Amino acid sequence: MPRQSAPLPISAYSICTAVGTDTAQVAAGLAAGAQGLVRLSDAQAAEITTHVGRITAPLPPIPAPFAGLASRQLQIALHLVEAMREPIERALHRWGAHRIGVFIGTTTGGMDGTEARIHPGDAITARLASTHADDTPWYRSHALHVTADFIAAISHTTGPRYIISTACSSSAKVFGSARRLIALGVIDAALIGGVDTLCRFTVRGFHGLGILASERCRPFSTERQGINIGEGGALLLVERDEGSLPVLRGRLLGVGESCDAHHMTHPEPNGRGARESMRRAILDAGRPASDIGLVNAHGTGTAINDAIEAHAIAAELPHGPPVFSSKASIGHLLGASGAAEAVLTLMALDLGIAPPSIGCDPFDETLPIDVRSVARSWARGPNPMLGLSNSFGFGGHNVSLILEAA
Amino acid sequence: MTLPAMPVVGCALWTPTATEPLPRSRLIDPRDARRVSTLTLLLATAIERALEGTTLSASTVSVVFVSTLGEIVNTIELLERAQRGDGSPMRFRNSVHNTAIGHYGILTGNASFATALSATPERGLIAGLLEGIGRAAMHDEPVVVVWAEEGCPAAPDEMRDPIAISIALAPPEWDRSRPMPCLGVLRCTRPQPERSGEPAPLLGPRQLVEAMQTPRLEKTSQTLVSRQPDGFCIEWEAR
Repeated sequence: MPRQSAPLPISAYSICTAVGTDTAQVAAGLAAGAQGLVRLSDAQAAEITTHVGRITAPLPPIPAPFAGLASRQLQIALHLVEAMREPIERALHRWGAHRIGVFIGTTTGGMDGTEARIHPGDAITARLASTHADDTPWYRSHALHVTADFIAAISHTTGPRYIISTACSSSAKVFGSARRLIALGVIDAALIGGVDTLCRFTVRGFHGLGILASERCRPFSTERQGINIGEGGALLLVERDEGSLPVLRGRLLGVGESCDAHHMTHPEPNGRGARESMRRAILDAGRPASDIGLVNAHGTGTAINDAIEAHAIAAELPHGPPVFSSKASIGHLLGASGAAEAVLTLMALDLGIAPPSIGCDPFDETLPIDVRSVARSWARGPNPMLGLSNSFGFGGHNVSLILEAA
Repeated sequence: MTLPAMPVVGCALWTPTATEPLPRSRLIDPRDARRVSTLTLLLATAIERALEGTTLSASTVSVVFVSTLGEIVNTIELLERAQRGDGSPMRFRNSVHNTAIGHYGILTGNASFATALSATPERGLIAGLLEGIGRAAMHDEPVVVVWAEEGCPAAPDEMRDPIAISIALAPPEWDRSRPMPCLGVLRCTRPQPERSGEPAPLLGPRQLVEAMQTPRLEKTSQTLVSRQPDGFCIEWEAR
């Protein structure tokens, strides 16, 4: 039996998506059902018709000492850290730099920087093997771990740091890693989250798999055709000892992880892995399933995935809590989706709403879950509402999180 | 800080040789082996060899996989193909960093915990052990930590050859009804213990596993202390 962990306080978070680059913008967009998806316009991928969730606001430039690592990926990471300077400084003072870990989820890391080094007609291996103008080898900026190392450097933390990359569940997995290492006393706090950037590599890849929607994606609708890719990320500061925190934004109560062992890209048809991750998260939270009042679905917008997830949710949460998907607003943030959607779930719990799932009408009535295209509010009870957030990745690696607003 | 001392029940190191230029694992059917990446074969080989002589099952053990560059051969091939306006759905789905653990789970029926990490070559060992010991200690379950690189054609010489190491951890509380040989005990500590004289050597995954595989010379236990990045330390006490 796994050891029961105490709830993990979340003292701060930041988020950056196509519908906003700060928490106020994103929360307002979440409640209003903002639409951040635009038609892909890329001369080097002109054969692909789809929509993407692109961040249009300017992002901060990479500081000179890291110029050789520059990528849009690190610009988003820098933006997320800058938005949390004050709570990070407090944590540094409270715990010490070496007691704060950094665990980040991503799928492509610095791929956008690698693509920027390549020109049409280049022989790739030779091109990459030649060093950049500033002598930084390509693999240093390309490797996934660069994002975690960069966040540690600019946040002045010196604890353990690494990337978790299990496709679309990457930045949900980091919650489990941080929770275990805090529970075991290795660290006292952690910056956890995820970042992923739009790049041709993934757009072409998903296009090749035939699962990109040409129009805006429509999770849980009868007219759903596939996914739209987005970029962005989220960062959360988790700390032990809730009593000493001046600000509390929420709590992580449960983490459930499972593995389909079925297929690299198709979920297990009976939803075994999805159900197992939700069941384990609920067990880990130590609360009855009926306490779950809101579900953020992985809800990608593909016919099969949405159907399997909907039936899995209905089986594990027969009391029928409201379910939403944000992917028609911000796109699928891939490795960053777990953390970004955890923040959206906390925001929704804080606002007291089930956010709208835009594009879900006409809703697929064969799905046994409660999804609406308009926001709904609920009467606050004596206890804080719990939210469950699902993230399911290629390789069959699934994670469910149970979150509670402060 | 000291993580719980973790018994090591097996370990392995694989590097290419004249007779075995590519890894071969009995865990993967030869027909499947042709379809999976080198990194997947490295992972399976490293797990199989770490579990030899133990009572742990390759189809139920949890897996922590660490790699700096991951599926870099597939990734570069996809970038090359993109230059020609050519794509490959299979190569794309096999380019994600967790391809090896995904295929391993599918081909061996292993639905236990699995995760995939990326860290610098220097931090890979301590990252994998923190994740592996954390999981083993909190869930009282055996975990194999595997660090593997498939070799990158566009990187310096020292990064061009494939390599895989594995360390099988079994927490003391885990299933006492199935005793198995214990090679020794691993401890991860921070800060590094005070030492007189020379600082402890900074060992990588390969050096640590080679030390684990070195037969003990005396009946008394022997302890190796290894410095790691960020103030961490690994102590290996052979049994």
